[in-house]
Amino acid sequence: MPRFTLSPRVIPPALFIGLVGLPVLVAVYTGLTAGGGETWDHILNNRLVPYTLTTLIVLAVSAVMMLGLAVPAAWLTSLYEFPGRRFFSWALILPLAMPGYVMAYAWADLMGVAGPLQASIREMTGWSARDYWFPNLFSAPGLAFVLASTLFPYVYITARAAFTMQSLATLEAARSLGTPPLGLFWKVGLPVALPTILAGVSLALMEAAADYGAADFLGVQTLGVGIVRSWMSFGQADTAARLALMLILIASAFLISARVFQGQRGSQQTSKRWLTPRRTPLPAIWGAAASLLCASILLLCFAAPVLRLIWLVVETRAATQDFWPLLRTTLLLGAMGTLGAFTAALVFTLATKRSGALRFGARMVAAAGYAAPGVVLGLGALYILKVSGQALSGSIAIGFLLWIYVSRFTSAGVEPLQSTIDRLPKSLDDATRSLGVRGVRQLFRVDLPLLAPGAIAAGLILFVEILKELPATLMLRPFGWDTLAVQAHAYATDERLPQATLPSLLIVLAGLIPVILLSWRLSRTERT
Amino acid sequence: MTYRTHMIVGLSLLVGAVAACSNPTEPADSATVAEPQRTLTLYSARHYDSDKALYAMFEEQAGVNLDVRESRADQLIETMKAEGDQSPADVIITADAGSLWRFQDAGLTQAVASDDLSAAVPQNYRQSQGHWYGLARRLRGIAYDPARWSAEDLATWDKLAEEDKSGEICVRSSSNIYNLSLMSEIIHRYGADDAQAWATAIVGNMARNPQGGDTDQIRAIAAGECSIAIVNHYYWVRLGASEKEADRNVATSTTFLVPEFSEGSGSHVNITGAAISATADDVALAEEFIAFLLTDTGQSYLTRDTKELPLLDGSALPTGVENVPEFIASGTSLDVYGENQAEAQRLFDLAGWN
Amino acid sequence: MSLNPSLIAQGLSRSFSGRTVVDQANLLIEPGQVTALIGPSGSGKTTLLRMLAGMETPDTGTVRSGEDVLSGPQTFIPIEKRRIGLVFQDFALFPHLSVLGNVMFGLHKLPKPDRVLQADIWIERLGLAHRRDAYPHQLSGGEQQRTAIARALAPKPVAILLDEPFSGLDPAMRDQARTAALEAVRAAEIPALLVTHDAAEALVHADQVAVIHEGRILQSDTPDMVYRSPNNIAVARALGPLHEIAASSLPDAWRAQLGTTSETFYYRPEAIRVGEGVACTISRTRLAGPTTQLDLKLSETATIVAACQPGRALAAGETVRASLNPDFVFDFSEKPL
Repeated sequence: MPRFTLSPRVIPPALFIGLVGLPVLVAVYTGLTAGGGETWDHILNNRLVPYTLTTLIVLAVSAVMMLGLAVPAAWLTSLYEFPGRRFFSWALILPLAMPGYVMAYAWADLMGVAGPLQASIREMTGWSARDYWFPNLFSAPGLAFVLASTLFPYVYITARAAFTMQSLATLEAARSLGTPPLGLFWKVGLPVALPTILAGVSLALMEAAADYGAADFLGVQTLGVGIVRSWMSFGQADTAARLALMLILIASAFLISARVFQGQRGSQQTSKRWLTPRRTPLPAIWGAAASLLCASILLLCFAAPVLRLIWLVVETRAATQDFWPLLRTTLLLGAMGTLGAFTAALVFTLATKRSGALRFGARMVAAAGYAAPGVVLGLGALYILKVSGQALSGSIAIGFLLWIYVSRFTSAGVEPLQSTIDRLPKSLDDATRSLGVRGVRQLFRVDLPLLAPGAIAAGLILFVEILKELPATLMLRPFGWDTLAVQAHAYATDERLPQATLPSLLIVLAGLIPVILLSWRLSRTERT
Repeated sequence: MTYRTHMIVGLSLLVGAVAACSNPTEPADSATVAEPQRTLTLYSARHYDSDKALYAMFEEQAGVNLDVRESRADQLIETMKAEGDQSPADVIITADAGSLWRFQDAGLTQAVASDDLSAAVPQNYRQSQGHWYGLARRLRGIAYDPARWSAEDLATWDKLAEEDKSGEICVRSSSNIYNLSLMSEIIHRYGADDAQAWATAIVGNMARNPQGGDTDQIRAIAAGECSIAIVNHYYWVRLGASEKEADRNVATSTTFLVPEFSEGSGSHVNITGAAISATADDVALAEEFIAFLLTDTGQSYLTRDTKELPLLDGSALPTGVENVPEFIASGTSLDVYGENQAEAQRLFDLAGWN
Repeated sequence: MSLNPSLIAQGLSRSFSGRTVVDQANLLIEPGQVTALIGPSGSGKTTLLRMLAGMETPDTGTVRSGEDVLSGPQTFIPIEKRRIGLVFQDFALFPHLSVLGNVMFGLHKLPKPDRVLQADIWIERLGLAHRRDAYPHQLSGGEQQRTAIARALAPKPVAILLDEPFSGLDPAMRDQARTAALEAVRAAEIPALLVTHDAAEALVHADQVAVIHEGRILQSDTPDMVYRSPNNIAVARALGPLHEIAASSLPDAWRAQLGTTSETFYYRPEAIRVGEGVACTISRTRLAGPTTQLDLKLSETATIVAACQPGRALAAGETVRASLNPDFVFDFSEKPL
């Protein structure tokens, strides 16, 4: 390899990375340069601290919840054999198909003061709503629960990978030293896997920080909501962009901590000595307990809300509207967005393979986009549109929308690709080149085939994420390009939840297929 | 081989998804008429099936093509600001005068001195310079538990601030435009200090932190969590017209009332309205469209699903609103709802109304 | 005998952030021969290999293949154009390609039928015919290694560089694997460089041995010469066990035999022959395969290490007689480090 210099070869990828980062940069720039004015002073004096605190509380609580939901289940399904293990090991990923706002609709209906849970309590006891305490979903912990229950699969996936890649020798050494099963978890399994798990948590929290739909619906005053409020109530998009800056700062902190955690992983995954530990069968009672735990998680985070939605659809006979065009648009936008974001992720990963500086820049850009709420990126796109003097219609609107998808989700695609690359021996690259193969030929003969496992995971994750995307689609879609998410949101904001349930359910169903494929893939990789 | 197969499967999945979905119909492009058809572009913050039927009728009647972009009002504003001179928007429809004012404030509307429209829309339901015109009326009022309160106890907004209402009030978040418009009128009538004091007192009387939408507040009464809910009338009406028996029971167990500001001063009335965009190509066509919405047909379709009140006196009421009591409009200029909006949010924030 | 050019490095230097890793290295790698580059870890042997291969740019110096400059002050032919075969320590086989696919990989300039033909020749030559369609993860370590060698040789490179290719192999099969692999490499009649830290491997299997220490190539010669006549204490250390003894501790007869005035001598254990000569007491014995290592007490303070193949078991406390073979005693006093 030639000396580490800024060769002209890095210019095209650098430009490309710039393009991906432009919307978020524009939004931030506007936030920084626009005159502060009275509104900003008001927000700063009365709101910034509460917004930020609430956001941090929500993130902290949901981090704890995600760990609680994901880690024990991952430990059990990767190291022990118990009834239903095979089913749970893939089914626990299903909640990924649930958008946060749909989860919020469903649980709000289930847990609301007029919902079935509270109604049956009152019926059984004869109490009135003021006579008992019931957890309130419309609160910071409630939002944290909603976010955790949709995002914990990310932590579950990383935790499983960490546990299954653990050194068999380490675990057996611990066992031979008389460590009981629980001690094995606390003293060996968890500490060894913790950096990887925390990296997963950090990434999930970036996603949580960018939430708007669920927080808005539940009325929790997070920064994401504050951004929209300062925009809506004060009509000041500039202030909104400033608050977004705060959010991006928080997210960058998560990104950096994820990097730090991953850096601590050390030399775990080099050679054949790291084999998947054989699963130990659990004794009957413990096996039943493990099944029960996994089943409850699945019920809480997937089955109950989905069944409730189905029930609402049936009960209110909401299926009157023709949702086929919406579904078609949703899938089409999802496919196009996936293609765009995937290409971007591929360029990011390959172009930055050898340049550390470029990689860091690319990561920061992608992460800023990932952390920025869709609203902020949409604002950035609108500023750019304004400069370009175009109307938001037809192919221009589609172009902007896809651009925002790329800007927002490239990071989600880079992760699986990068981890695939990290697992490959560095010498493969030299070997390829020593055989006289480089450039496009190297891309097609070596890089792409080797990246295929990660590429499929990346593609599936991107597809699901874009299906669920709401704010940017809402802002930028051209005439006639309504998606299911847009429709569900429109009904939900009109307080017509019964009508919102069917499109919500369809999003979940559309997302389930890629999630199941992803889950099937992950369990296959584990076995080979 | 395994690696290659994976890649092929993955790629074909993507390509297949793209290919399988043909282009969603884009109304602007799919019109295959020989002669160039006039197009009216509507930016609407409403999304009702009955609206769509109404638009189709207008297309038929006027022989034009109607492009509709439905989105939230704030997003429509940002879109139009970004589009600038290029904006295709001709007509804007949105709920709440406060929201219409935001379009106007951003310079996105134009003043139209239309005799037809001015004749149809009473003065207190349109913007003073003709920037926007009301299409339907909406009332912010109170749903309450009749077993707990009499109409007399709640006849004015001031009475909600009294101590006996402590722990009894359910209301949604202050960032909601309905609350902002109400507060704007209160500021207009009593000044900032009294308005803040009122808001602070309401916060003190709340049964719970503001959460959910208006419907949720009414449900909370039925569940016994509070006994007074500040809500728009049509949410209460819609519950009464619901498919679900449980919802209808919620409506029948509560009573709706429209408080006055003080005895005899009239009530807070808001509108859904239309504005003609600053960039409208064909103002006459835009006026024609708005005038169409103000016909009996237009009125009945506009209010059929929303359960708003028609703007025109003679128009038939949508089913279900007959239980909404009579009221007298305060007659305050709707301009006020916009002008005081930022102040309203600031006072809410200071009062601690989330 | 061979028409292929040698691979020549002249005055190659490379430093990383101020630390000189390779310092003015000269190396002549002749075709048809295996030249071993031996040195401890951190001695710069991998960097030297990377510069020869074109994976690293030298600060100074040239790399030539015969008359063709591969790397010099004005020239830098990148790795993909250099046509140098590489065999990596981890083999770096493409996991998505079969043995055939891997071997064919570098033959992309040929039409497809020729590619298969050529690849099959090399697969055959390295005894992999029965594994032709297997994937890397299905192969044994030795098979993976032979695949890597076949892949490197198939495009007819101007030289082949092997970076510790045997270190990952099972010791039981290592020797056989080495012989077979290096035979194929020699048969290609191109310059071959075998980077290793295993002295025995270098001495047994290479035709030439170059010793690198702290970035400098100290000696480059036949295995015999570098082993028997190291020109430097570091060279001697790199190639086998080396012990140090003060001249004053030696019996007078031995000192006379050596005939210099040095104060310190370095010797290999085989310099001390048990049989006749000076009587000394065995203080400790260690069995090391066919040979036995003995610690012999010359006096109260001096012990000398001997390696011998005694006809019977020897025990500590026994007295034996020992003589000295001066060929395996080195005196570096005139050549300070």
